[in-house]
Amino acid sequence: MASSSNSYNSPCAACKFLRRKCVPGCIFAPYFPPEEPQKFVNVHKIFGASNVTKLLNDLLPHQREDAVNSLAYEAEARVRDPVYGCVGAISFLQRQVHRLQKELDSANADLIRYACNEIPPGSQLPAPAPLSVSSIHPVIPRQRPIRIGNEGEGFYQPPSSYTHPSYILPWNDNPSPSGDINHGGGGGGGGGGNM
Amino acid sequence: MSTSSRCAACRHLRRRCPSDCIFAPYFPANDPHRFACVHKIYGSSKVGNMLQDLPVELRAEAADAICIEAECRVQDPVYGCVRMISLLQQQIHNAESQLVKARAEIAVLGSHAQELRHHVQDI
Repeated sequence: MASSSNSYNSPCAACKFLRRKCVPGCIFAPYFPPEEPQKFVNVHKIFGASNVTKLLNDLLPHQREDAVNSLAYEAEARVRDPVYGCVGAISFLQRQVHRLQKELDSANADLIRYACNEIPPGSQLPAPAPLSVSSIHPVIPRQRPIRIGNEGEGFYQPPSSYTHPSYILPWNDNPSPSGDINHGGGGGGGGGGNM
Repeated sequence: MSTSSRCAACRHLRRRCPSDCIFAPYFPANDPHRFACVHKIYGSSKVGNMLQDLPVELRAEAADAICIEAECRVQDPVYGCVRMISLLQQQIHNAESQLVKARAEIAVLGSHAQELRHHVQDI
């Protein structure tokens, strides 16, 4: 949540860390409240203050909060896992999607099998009540895997010994990022889903 | 070292490429875009420090991961690779819901099938 902090109150976490005066209009102040010092510590460690300033200056004001939160998320991921960072989390989640898709395929196959084999062969039955075949939804659309890494190499795979810490996205309840997902500010379009 | 064999990082930074350059093994000269993205998002000293802090055997993987994150952030300056995480979590949520539904359907159909079998046996 963006908050304001200026020299009349207490300096923002960024200015505190950088040991400088937190002036009105400080670009960090809305996004790095003094109550969350670790957020800026991580971001500074991974990206550096001047890079974050440049990134934020390239964005429209309404995009900056989400940008800071995603930078903080990436920074924390990399602090926790200096080798793989967020990419490790992506790989872990991709494997989960893959596993769930296989389970869904298996469940769909079972559903189709029930639909096809419902009436045993050769049996003489009065007209049975029809199955609610319409309730079967055998085809759950296959989720297209999100590919990262070089073309043709498929999923980025850290070693199998990698254990993924559980990450909570910085967005409150909605798992999808808020804001205009197709607007990339000054830096070009959105869509980090495929590389 | 001659200028023609500088790594992409040293070329980008317009400096000599020393024999023990921290970047050279991971930023070959034939892929200048790779370092350009990393430099834009993290800066060379941050990347150098990140690699320096790791054992040598882990640096290649780390460099690859850093490059992927940088490329994602260049393409999507607001969400970077975190968008992908969000999409994957949504996919997982949807798949789990579908799986619960499918398994409930299977349970219902399974009990139907059992009733029919009993019915056939009774005839």
